[in-house]
Amino acid sequence: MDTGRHPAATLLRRVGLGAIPFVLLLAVWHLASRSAGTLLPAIGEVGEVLAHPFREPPNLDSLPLATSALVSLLRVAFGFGAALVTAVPLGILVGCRHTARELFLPIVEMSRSISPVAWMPLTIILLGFSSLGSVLYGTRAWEYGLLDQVQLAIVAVIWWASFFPVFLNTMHGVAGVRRLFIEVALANGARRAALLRHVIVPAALPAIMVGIRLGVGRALMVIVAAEFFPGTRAGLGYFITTSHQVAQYEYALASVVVIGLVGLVVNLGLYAVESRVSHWQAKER
Amino acid sequence: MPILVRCWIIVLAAMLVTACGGADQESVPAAVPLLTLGHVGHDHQIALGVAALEPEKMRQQCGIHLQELKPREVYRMMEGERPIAELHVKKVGGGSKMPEAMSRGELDVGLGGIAAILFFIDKGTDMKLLCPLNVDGDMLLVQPEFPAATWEEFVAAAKVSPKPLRIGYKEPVAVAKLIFERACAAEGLRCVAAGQGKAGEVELVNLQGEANVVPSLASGAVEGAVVNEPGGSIAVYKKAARIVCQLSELPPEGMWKSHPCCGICATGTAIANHRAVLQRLVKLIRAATEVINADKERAAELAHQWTKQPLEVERSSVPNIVYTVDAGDAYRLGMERWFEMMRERDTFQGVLKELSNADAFARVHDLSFLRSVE
Repeated sequence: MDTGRHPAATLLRRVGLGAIPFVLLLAVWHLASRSAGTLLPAIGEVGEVLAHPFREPPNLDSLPLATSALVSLLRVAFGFGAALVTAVPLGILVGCRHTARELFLPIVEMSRSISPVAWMPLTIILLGFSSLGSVLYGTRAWEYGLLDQVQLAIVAVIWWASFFPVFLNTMHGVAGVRRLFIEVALANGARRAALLRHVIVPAALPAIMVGIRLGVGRALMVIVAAEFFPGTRAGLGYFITTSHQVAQYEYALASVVVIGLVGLVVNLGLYAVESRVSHWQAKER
Repeated sequence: MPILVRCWIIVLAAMLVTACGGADQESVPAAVPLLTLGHVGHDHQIALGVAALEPEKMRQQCGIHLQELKPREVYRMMEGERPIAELHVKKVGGGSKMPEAMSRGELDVGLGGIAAILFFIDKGTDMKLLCPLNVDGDMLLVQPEFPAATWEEFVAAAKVSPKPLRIGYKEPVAVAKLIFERACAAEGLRCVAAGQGKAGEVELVNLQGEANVVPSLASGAVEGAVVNEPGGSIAVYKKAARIVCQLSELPPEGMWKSHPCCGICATGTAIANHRAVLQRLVKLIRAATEVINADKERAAELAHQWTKQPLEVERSSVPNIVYTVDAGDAYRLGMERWFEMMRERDTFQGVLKELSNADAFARVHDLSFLRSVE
């Protein structure tokens, strides 16, 4: 649409347009914090929290904001990583095999509408306070940095949240690979493994990437609820729930801002990867 | 795909390196028993915080102290210079979370609300109360502009109110709600569920947790709330409410004075296997309680350090809570009142249902640790 314009002007226009909602949001926030009395924190109060990410919050029982962000990212990385290594192979299998589809689809269709948060009590009963640290180091887990903050119950909830988008997109991506590609490969003597590696997976990759982006998004969304977990002392979600309990809302909003920024960075990164692995699709069109 | 997998592995490895902070802390001898202790994390249990933050004072006071290995999480319990246990402290949150974790065998010792502990003992969890931690500390709050400064004025205002007064509570089995309902009944003030009230009545609104008390008061969703400290002091600090009265003062006269609130409990396994450690823990908590009562201003500062609530909140909250490990007649009477109220509400469906008050008291307590240190 912007063809013919100077690139710098295009960039300026994009940045300017993109900034308008932020400016409006800040203006509304500023006005609301003035009119709503002391409850809604002022922008400056939230800025103060964000400006000291490595300081232990003076009025909140939590590890510093930066540590909390790292703990949340660790939990997301493990939960989402587990979803990736389970959902992609299963999605490929179900996408390729009709019998597997008949076997798994009913339970998948039933399960995917269940909110991950609904599993919290059960995961706590089944996994208790056990963490990556306690699995690796037993009762000495506390000596090993933040690993004892990566509770398996939280990881399991994130896994549940991320699994279905990745699985379903992989399945549909694989099932939708053009018959022509497969036939050409077979006609050239490709064996099953080569067919999978050089034809099916690359062809399904754009769909898998969409699933991955959706899965990461869901993992980040569910972290707020999942980190409301007994025994936790850090995490962006923990920051939010704990600050609500003690009515220190500036910490909650600071954590919301960080979650938004993390989501933005992760999404931009995934878009970059997606455009790289899906470049052939654009050419094909 | 390989690019993505590689990226993920690199990110994960980097995070792991950052997360594994290294085991540079000193280890304890393997023979020292390890006990996991859960607590709610607010100022009802600051005896634990005082014990953790004032080791020298504790050593002088009772010969036992906590040596910090990881702040707020891991402590070595010392008798003189001798390590006697390692305590892993977990903040598990309020309500039923602590006794629930004990029922799963994840905690050996818990500091938390007595009503929830009784509920889980009734359900069959093998644990006993070793001693109380505090009594009282519940209050009635109203919005700042509400025309009542005392309980009598509140009752009068409620009775002439053209619409039902909405009073919030944090959860259905909250001690504050039980007391408030009884007190209203004693005043001839009818309490009904939300949405069912008429003029001159009180509607009780479940606020679904302590976190919603301040926003509900500030937004006018409720005209008042019954809460325990530090919730009351937080609401006042945030200018969302005013304190009308302490619930321990409510009618029937004298009935709620010294009502038990929080206590220390231990699992049957911990009691059987770690009697000596538990006895010293009770001794330590008793000494910390004495330190709190000797100087409430200092106790508020320590509570601020331990709970991270603003100092102003703790300066207001700590004096409203009666810290005591005394399990004497007043405590016994208070416990019997809980047994009766929980039976009336059919809360007991298990081992405590058919027991007399005396038998139930004996069933839920092991006061031998307390007696041995008194």
